[in-house]
Amino acid sequence: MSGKVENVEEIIKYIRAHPKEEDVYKSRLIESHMPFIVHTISGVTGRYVEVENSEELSVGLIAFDEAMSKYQPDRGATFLSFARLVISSRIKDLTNKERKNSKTVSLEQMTEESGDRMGIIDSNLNNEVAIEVEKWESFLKKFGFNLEQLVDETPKHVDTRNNAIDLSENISNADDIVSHMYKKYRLPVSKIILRFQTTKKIINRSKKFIIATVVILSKNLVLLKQWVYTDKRRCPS
Amino acid sequence: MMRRGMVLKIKQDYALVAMDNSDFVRVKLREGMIIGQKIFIFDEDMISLSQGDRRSSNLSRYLKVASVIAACIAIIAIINNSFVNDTRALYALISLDINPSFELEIDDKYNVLKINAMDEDSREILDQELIGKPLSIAVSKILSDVEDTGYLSSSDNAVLVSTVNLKNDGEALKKIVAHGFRLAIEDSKGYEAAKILFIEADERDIEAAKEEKLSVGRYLLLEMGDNKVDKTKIIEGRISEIIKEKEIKDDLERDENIQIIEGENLQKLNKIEEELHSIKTQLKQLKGVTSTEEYEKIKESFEAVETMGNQLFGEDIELAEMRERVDSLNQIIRDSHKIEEDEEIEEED
Repeated sequence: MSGKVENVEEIIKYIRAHPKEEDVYKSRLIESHMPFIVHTISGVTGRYVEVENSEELSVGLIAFDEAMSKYQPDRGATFLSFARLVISSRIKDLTNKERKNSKTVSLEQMTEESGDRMGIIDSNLNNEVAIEVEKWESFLKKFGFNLEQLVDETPKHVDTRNNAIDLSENISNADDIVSHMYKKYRLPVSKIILRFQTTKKIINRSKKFIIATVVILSKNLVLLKQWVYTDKRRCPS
Repeated sequence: MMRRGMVLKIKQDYALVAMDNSDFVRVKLREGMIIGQKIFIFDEDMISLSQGDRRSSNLSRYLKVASVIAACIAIIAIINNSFVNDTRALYALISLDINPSFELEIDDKYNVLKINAMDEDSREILDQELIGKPLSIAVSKILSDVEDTGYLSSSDNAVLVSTVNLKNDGEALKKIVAHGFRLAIEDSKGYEAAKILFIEADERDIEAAKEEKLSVGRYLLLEMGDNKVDKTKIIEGRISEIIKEKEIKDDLERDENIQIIEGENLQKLNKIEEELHSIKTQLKQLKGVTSTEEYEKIKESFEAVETMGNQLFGEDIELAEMRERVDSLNQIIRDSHKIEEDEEIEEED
């Protein structure tokens, strides 16, 4: 990436000389600088930047575009330091505006929602993902572990995880194994080894992850399924 | 590197997040986080706490075994197995290696059918009177005899228990052996500090162990060693030393089929189980007293502890959690009795 960073100024110079190619090169620059943009926004707000429907992100993207148009190499600053300045200032404008609005909103909320659902945790109780996660974890607990332990024992290599997901998909399609699992709250390792031509070592190294995946697939926890497994082969950003 | 993640759970100091590449991680807590929120995450946001540290420290505690003698107990449940067809009543086979090695054949009532001495040392100790006795009594007696004969180290002992789980009663077998340990601990304090490693094995392991002329427990260790650990050491060495070998230690750490329990914790577990039993009988009475929703909650909580007990969790963390849950269940039951009493008083008034 550092190669690209060094070339930004040249690309901008090229864009200005070839206005017809502006769109293509600009969107390429934006794409390759997404981490930079997100990181800059996050640095100003102190929050994580949301992936979907984020006003902050669109303001940041517009600001980056603005920086590309307004950048003047002869002023001595690098493009990125200039862009950081523009993004930061636009995000600050946005948060100031939000802060003013939020005062009135939060008062309304106080009266409307009786004021007892103010903490982070409480506001989480009503959302659908939270409900799914709770359901999911209650199953995992029956298998003898919780989310924390799943986090600890999730295979760290993406290939290992993908293999485990393939195996879990096979398992969740085998009704007899699934019903066995929910009856005994155990993974019938020997059965799985025989049926799917795998080895004990492979299963044991990913056991919690496999159980957790089979629960998501077989209990059809759609939100988790969509996020965690549908896009498992999505290219790294 | 920037990735995308979805917030699953928010804790006091961090949040649990599912990444879009199916990884699950902990990230730093920031303002405005909500469950279900999809966020961009950088490497610097991730917290890589606990796992390695916590688990290995736990394990190293277990592995701090300066022991002279290691015991290896292999329980092999053979049900409808080809090489036991000639003895129809045979239900399970348990081999018990404590340097002196024994093999116990068990019937479907978990009574001892036959005991075989596997080496010179065990022949000295062998007590044929144990035939017909319940498995737990036999295990306890053998453990005591081994200590009495001086095979046990005064400080630490590591015990390896391996089970075969053909008809899903491996847990029941483990529990019975565990019960045998508890009985032994009562008069043989040597087992109180013993580390008991439960490992699951299967029919193929039994066959392979036979070919190698090894106990199933040692055979499994050999397999874990992946040819990187001196074979003679595994065949003749002390279990407590063998489990310090990096190859094997790594596998023990990772393998979810292996449960490590301290003798002392087995006793605690026993106490919890007794209490759970009494809670179970009282739980039904709660049904009329509390709301259905609350009753379901309590029942779920009870089932969770019960499952934990069934998994034979022996680590301090789980025990503490179980203890906490049992205490709160007890409290709920006490409270409900109070409500009943109050109602009765009101009625009398």
